[in-house]
Amino acid sequence: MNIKDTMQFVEFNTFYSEYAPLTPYGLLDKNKYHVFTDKKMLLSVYSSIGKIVSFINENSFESDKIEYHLKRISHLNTLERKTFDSSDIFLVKKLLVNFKSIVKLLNDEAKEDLQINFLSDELLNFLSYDGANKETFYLSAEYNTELAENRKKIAETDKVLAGIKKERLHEILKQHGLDFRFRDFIIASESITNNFSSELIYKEVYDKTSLLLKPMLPKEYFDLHKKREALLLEENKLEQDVLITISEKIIAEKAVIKNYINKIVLLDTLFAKSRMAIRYKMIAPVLIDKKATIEVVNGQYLPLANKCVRMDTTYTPLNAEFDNKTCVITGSNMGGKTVLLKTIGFMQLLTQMGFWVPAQKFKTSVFENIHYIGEDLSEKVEGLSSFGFEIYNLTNAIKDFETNTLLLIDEFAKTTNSIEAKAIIAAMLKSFSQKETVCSFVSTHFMELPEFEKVSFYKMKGLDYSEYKKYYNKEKQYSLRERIKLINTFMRYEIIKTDNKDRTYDAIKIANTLGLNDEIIRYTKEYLSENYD
Amino acid sequence: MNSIITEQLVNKTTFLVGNKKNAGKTTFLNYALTQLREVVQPAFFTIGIDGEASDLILDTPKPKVYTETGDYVVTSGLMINKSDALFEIIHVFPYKTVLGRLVLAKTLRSGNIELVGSEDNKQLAEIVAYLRNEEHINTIIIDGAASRVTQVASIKNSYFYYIIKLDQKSINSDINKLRTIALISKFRGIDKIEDTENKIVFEIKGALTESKLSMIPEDCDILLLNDFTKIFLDLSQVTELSGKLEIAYKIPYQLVFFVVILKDMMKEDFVRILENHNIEETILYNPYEY
Repeated sequence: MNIKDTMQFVEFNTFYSEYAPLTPYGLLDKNKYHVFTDKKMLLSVYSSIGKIVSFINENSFESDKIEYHLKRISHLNTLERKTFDSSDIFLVKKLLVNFKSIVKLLNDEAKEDLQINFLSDELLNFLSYDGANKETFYLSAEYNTELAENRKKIAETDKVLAGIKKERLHEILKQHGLDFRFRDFIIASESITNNFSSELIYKEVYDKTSLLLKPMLPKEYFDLHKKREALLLEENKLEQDVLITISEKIIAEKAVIKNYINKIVLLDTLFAKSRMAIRYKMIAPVLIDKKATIEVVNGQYLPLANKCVRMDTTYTPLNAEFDNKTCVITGSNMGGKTVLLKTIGFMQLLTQMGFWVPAQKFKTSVFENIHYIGEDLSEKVEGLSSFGFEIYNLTNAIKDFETNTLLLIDEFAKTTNSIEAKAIIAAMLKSFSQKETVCSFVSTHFMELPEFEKVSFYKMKGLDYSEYKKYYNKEKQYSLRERIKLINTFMRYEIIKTDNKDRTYDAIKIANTLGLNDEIIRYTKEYLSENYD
Repeated sequence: MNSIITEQLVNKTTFLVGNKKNAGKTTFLNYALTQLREVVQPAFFTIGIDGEASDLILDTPKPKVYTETGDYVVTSGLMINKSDALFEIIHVFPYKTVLGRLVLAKTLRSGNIELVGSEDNKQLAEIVAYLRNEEHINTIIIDGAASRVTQVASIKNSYFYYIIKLDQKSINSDINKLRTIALISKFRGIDKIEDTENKIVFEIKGALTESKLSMIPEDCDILLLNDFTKIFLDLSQVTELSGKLEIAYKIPYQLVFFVVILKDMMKEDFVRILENHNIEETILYNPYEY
């Protein structure tokens, strides 16, 4: 399903950016923008969110700990390799340690609901020679007796090498006053180096005036160093053997680990969705039969509701029970027609992306397609006018009418001549209303559209002009922000059902409120009274 | 023990920045680490994949970085596997390099290690944040790329050593570079705009280049830049500009020392040049000099 335009129209990302899974796997899942059309699956997700919400509310300490462990999970390099290196194994171990801790913290109900279990104690113990449940990893000598013996020899050799070097550096310090304890070399003026013993000090030219001096270490040191090199080669071979052994153990549990990753995605996304549900007091959507209509009780369009909080203005949630699947929305400019469409689109996207919704009730069905048709929000297609773009989108949407489709149509054809535009909208209403698979919300300024069976007409209540007039002070110079706030205060963003005969003339009042000059307002009113009743 | 260096590095994030390739950063890193280990277990890493083939303190093939038991190292997984030292993997960062993902490892057995790091300033900041916040490692040294100081700006409250190699052939331009860095690193930081005492502040976002000088209003009292790495002017331009107005930074950084590596030049001659140019900065001479 292509939901790009609808997402842009409803500014979905302002909400989605707050949705924050904690693991790299959860974040990858988030970036896939999954939209689900399987009703059973969605109901199961809503139910799981309910259980996680209860779990978080009742077990705040455990849920904080679970989130701590989720945050610590890193993305594995790969499981599709014959031999893993130390960092690959570290990542597997870290995943197992944290997943095990998460499973321990979940209650039985959540474990059963999500079918989460930890079955890899044996593997984890094998990876934990350096300490159980420690996230870090190193190729311990415990894995292989030969490796242990080899490392012991290296350690002994290092000790002897350090002793020889220490003794020689001390000798040089005593004899020549050169301190090489913190330096591998010293740069000194040529003039002071003449008496230095060539058995103790190696000299080479540094620049025109200086020599570079290095301590000469005894032959015994270099012989031992050679032995160390051989031991290191042997160590490397033995480490490879250990890596192969560990890799075989991991590969044997590959399917189980992959299942853990799936469970991590599930748990991580459910926790993130549940946190959102708690923050915004969300509820599970009610999914009904595809033939039924949409109902919203106190539905909040969060991108706007949050903006209103920031601007200290009132936000009016949406309350509507639509009695047909083809609905026409009319009303004033700035009256909330578009916001109504956005609210429906926002709620529907949340529903089908497996979120709860910010409402007291949201009754809807699952749509196979969701289309927004209106102003081009993305880059203009070259050569295509606004009207052309709308027609292009409508044509594409119609191709989907075989399956359940939601259409959000915002002020269709507003840029073309009003007579033909009205005719096309009338034709669209007639066509849509005859199709059981189509649920459409059409906002428009055109009044007196023809009536059809199964088409309902609604209008936004609009500006409460009598209340507004009591408050408005003609003498005061209002700023644009104050004027918008004034309109917002007296605009009634409520939807009421109409009989399609209701006329709305709020445009002049809005223009007046926004400061259009008196002359134009007066001429407009004169024109209206001369040409209309 | 060189207590001056140790005190300056402990519990700080310090960049080693060089004036040119092979200026001696890695050699200085090795020296600084030997001093630090006397008091703390340091963490160190580099920026990018070091393409420098040799080091001009030595003029020899690039020195290896020697890690001792207890050190924390950030490098690629491949380098960890190749090293003769032994490591415990503590964290794998989600950043890939051509030589594998970057890892944080603790040294269990001393040895040589080749450093590979991220060139991305954001990743660099995230690595430092991880070391500080998750692993509580507070002494961090970053072997910076040559001729670039922009990485310093990626970490708040960081310090830097400017390692400058001077030789007779390029003494004039090198001295000018030193004087420019000395001058621009002195300008103050302004945390809040209120600190400007009603003066007229003009902010330039991004780099201050010669072409942007004409944008600065005549009546400007303070020219605000993000940090000192945004100045792309030569000494005479900076001197002229700072004579007309105050230059300030949103993010201040502290230059700890200039580390001067002299080549084909006597220390006495260099001291005379410093006196002639009124340079009073703290100079740390090549710690490898007798």
